[in-house]
Amino acid sequence: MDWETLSEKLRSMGMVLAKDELPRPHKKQKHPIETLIPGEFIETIHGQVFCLTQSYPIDYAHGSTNIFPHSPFTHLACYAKAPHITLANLQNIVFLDTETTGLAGGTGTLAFMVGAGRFQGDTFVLSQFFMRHPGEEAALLAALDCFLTPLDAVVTYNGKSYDIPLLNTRYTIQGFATPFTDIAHFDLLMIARRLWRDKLPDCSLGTIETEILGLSRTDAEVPGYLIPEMYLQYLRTQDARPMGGIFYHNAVDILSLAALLTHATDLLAAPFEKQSDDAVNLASMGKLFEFLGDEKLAAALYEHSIQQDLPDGLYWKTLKRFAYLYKRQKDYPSALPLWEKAAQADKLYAFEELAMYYEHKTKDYPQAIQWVNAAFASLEKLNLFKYEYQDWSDRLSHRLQRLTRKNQF
Amino acid sequence: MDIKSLLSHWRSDPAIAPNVVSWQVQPQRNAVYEPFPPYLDQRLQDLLAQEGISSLYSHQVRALSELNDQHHIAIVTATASGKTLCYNLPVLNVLLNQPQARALYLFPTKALTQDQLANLRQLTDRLDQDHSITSHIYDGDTPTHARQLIRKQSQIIMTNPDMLHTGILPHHTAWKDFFNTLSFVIIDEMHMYRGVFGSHVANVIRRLKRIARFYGAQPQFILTSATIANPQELAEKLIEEPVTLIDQDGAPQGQRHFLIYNPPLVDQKLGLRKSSLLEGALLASETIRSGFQTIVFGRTRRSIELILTYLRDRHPDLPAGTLRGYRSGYLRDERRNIEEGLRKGIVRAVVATSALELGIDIGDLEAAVIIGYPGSIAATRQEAGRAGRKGNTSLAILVTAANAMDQYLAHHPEFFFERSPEQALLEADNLLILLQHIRCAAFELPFAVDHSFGKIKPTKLQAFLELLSNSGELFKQDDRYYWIADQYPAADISLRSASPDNISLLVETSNGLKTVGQVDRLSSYWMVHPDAIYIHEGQPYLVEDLDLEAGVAHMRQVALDYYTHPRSETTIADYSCTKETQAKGCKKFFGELTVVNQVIGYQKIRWFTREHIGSGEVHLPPTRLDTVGYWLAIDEAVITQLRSEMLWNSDPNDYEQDWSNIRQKVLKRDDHRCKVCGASSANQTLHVHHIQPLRSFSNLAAANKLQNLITLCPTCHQLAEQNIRIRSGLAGFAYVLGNLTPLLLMSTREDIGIHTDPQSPLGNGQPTIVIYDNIPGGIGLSERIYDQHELLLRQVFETISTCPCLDGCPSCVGPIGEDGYGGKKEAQALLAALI
Repeated sequence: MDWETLSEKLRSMGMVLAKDELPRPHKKQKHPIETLIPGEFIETIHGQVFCLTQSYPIDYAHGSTNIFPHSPFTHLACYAKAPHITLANLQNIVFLDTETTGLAGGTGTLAFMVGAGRFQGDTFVLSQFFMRHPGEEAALLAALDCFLTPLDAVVTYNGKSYDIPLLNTRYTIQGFATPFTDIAHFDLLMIARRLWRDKLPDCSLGTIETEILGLSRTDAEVPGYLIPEMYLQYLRTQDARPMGGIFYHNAVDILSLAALLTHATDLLAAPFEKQSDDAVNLASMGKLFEFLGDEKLAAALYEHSIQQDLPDGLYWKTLKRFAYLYKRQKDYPSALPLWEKAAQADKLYAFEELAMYYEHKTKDYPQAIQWVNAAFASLEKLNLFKYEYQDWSDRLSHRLQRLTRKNQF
Repeated sequence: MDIKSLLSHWRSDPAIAPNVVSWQVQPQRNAVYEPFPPYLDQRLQDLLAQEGISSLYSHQVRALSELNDQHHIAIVTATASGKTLCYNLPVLNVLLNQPQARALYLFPTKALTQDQLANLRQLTDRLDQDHSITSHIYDGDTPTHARQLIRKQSQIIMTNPDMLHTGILPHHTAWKDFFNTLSFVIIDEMHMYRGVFGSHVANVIRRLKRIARFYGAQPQFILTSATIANPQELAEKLIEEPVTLIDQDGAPQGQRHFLIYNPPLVDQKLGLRKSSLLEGALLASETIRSGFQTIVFGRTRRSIELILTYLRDRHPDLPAGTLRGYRSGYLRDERRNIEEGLRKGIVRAVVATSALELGIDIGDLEAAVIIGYPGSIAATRQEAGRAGRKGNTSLAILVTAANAMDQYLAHHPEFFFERSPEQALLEADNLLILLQHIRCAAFELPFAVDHSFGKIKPTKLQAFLELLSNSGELFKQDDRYYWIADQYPAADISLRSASPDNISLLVETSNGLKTVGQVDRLSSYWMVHPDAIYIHEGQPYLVEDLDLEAGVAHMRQVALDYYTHPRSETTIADYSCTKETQAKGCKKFFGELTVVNQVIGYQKIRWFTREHIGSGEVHLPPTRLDTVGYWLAIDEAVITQLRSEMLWNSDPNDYEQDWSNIRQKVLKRDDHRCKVCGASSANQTLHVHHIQPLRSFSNLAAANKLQNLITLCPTCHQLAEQNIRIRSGLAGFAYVLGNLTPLLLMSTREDIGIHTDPQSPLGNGQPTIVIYDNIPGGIGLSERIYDQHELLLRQVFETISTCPCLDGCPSCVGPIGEDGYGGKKEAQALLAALI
């Protein structure tokens, strides 16, 4: 049975098969990749693979940011749970980004292009490996492996859940060992979210570029969501002309990774210097440093941020965090004024904290009772959902009962 | 009271004894023990010894030794015969000595998986810490954060075929370490993998073996099954390897009484019987009163509540907590509570649906009352096996309902003891199903031109691969096919349906539209046509409209006392015969068919009484089904013989008094000539014939309307009457056939279609009955009928012959007046000529 008979049969069984005529390669006009992109073929033991290599000087500015990092990695390395990585490892850090045949996940997605950049002496070397068809995957992975050596850490954007697992899968399917085992990983998306979630509408790399790195891409750019389909078209037609846009897209992604790393390390090395005027940023950094365990710096950042012009919602959230930070440090004299401030704005948690403080710390029951009653008054003012109201009402009543009992003895 | 005295009481009770159509006593059987084999790890021997086990049943030892000899095995022994140990022991025996080895357990349901994990851990928890065995469930309910650790560390993974299909195989690289050392695959309750589901699972196993081979593993398979007719065949079809069958049961069994209780006839003419529900509840009430812990199985959620209410009314002395219901819809904690109550003996009786599955441990009960045939012999045996697990005398009663299958089984108790007639069938090479799994397999690993897929050879496989390349999902380069589409094919493929194209069933609720279920497109025409009653989990819904373009049916909840039965017209548009054989009195064929079906209307049928209370029209486009079928064409000699034997013209028809008047009017209208051959009344007496037979009318006036009458000469009249008789005999035959084939094929009635034609081109113009797989491409059902033709016809004949009705009833050839008229006698005569 040939496939046409089979197709006829399946159709008659009600199977919906794609009918549209797929594009075919032009017989005469050929546009192979090597005539369009100034790259070269790299020989590996698994065959050859096309690769474009570009170098960028030490003072290369990507948008408004220099790509070459100077500040220590301490905080980022700590965040990535790789405190052993320092600026000294710079030459063994690889910036990596893949272009794939889709987002479906699993074993059926290919990385047809892998871009990787690293600092070598005074230059940033960017190599982009491209497979002309899936049969070149083994060669691509072998060439990439070669480029990656030696490797201490990778830097990606969402690579923790996307690029690296995908490459691991590809290496496994080719029967190779993956180069990423036990390698430190700086996923800059995680950091970007921590730093700019409250400031930016989203944390896509595109938004970070325009808003943080001051970069705009040229007309050569193709949007990421079109890339899988463009590659499929290329496979069918062997017309590589649209691939130039993908090379550009991928190269800018990697340069942005380097620039972002530089920007973030600078920022975290001297949080007050760079953005002391930006209250939202200070608050975000406060959270990040609190997460990293530097409570002193966190407190200073919170302090600074709430004294400036924070949006209302973020102001109260930051104040709450700030007060809890003090509470955790058992610095009640500092926490109390913050809670009192929040209580004035009817924040119920603050009444509860105050009541707890007077009940347990100073045993001043009348004062505690006063705060609970004040809480009840606020509760009536607030327009809460019924279940929320009930929850608070129960909690406060419970506390009041206990306090009244204690007060009697 | 002990069971024996209750039974002897029943033997003398005139209200019960006559209805017990079968009383089988299975004698007590002693255990066949064998010592621990020397290669069984000492730690396991110690573990068993702690439980007081110093030897094994013979089938357990056989399982160990066959596996030791590197065979794949299938174990078919009775309920509670220690089947689980047949796979747990060999697996643990290997894992204790090769801790890096891995085992994959597949269960058809999540509930069973939970129970088996508890079972296994009970055993392994007592191993000392240095030799601990890790086992986990990995299914849709496994929390994401726990998954990675389970994949990495668990030596035994328990899951279901659906999870293997969508969650594990497409991510096999994450399971690299697991597949590297995969040593065992356990397929429990393999008889569940039949029909469409089985055909899918066989392909999932092809994919599993392909991935395992990629990582260099060739696991041994251990399969278990309930009693079916073809366990070895099923096992070998599922895993496509030779399998050693182990069916010599070494476990002991107490004396078991198995009764079939057929509720008495209340109307012989219509074949109506007393309600099996009430009769069953009555019997259960007696076993409960006699102090036996009893399980009652009902078929629907509603019947459970009815029986429970009845039993509570009859036993006001028993606290409500001791009589319990158990069905889907009960909360998890409540169920655990009931299970525990049963084990402890606090709960005296439970009324359950099949939701109380085999694997769930409820201890040993004394009596089981099964109300209505559970749909398969295997399920009946499993439900009956709930009574009497540990060597004590036990009682199981099957209370049969009024339908043909139940009535047939009422006369065949041997099926429940001796060889089961049930064949579990699957067709892994069904084109639609195969194509879907080739897509999944290509996603998992590229195919090369010289690769096979299971039993599919490279040349055939290439047709599929080329097809997929052409539709853009695969890309071919240098003799390899790569998946390049941005799709995750497994996500769109349900193992429970043949066609990936489904109709969603939507119900308006206070929170907006809710999807309550899905049916495949082909079935939607007859299951959810406008005005149909669709039953989902016991709740009836009225279909308001079926939007085939949007792929949705809108329904609303109703409380109605009827269900609907679709009426459709079927034609065989095209056929090509691949096999044919002359059989007794007929020729049998097998081949490919194109069946065109159009649902044209429906009947409303009242629950319980099955009374027709109305009908309606349906306007839907015809559907085309390309499938395979079996057909039989009756020999001309048989027809001639039947014609000559029939005493049709001597039937004293009770004509109306006014008949001579009416007759004269018709003769005059037809100009005193035969309307067929034109013969005049000059040389013979002309007859006036009822076009639709007189007996199919309930009143004479309707039958004698002029438009139902026609003038014929005696010769033509004879032919006309015979055609009708033969047609109705054929229809009656087909009715029984349709109801009995599920018994042979372990399928549902909906899995097959039946078509009759008194002058069919398929049978060279002879009267023909066609049975086809009601699934695109077929899944091996009708082909098996072709092979089992003689056996099936004999069963049909017996069903008709043993039915006590006068001229057809729902239990044999169909109710009077449904397909032509009765036709019982004719069907019987026809069958007699064929067996």
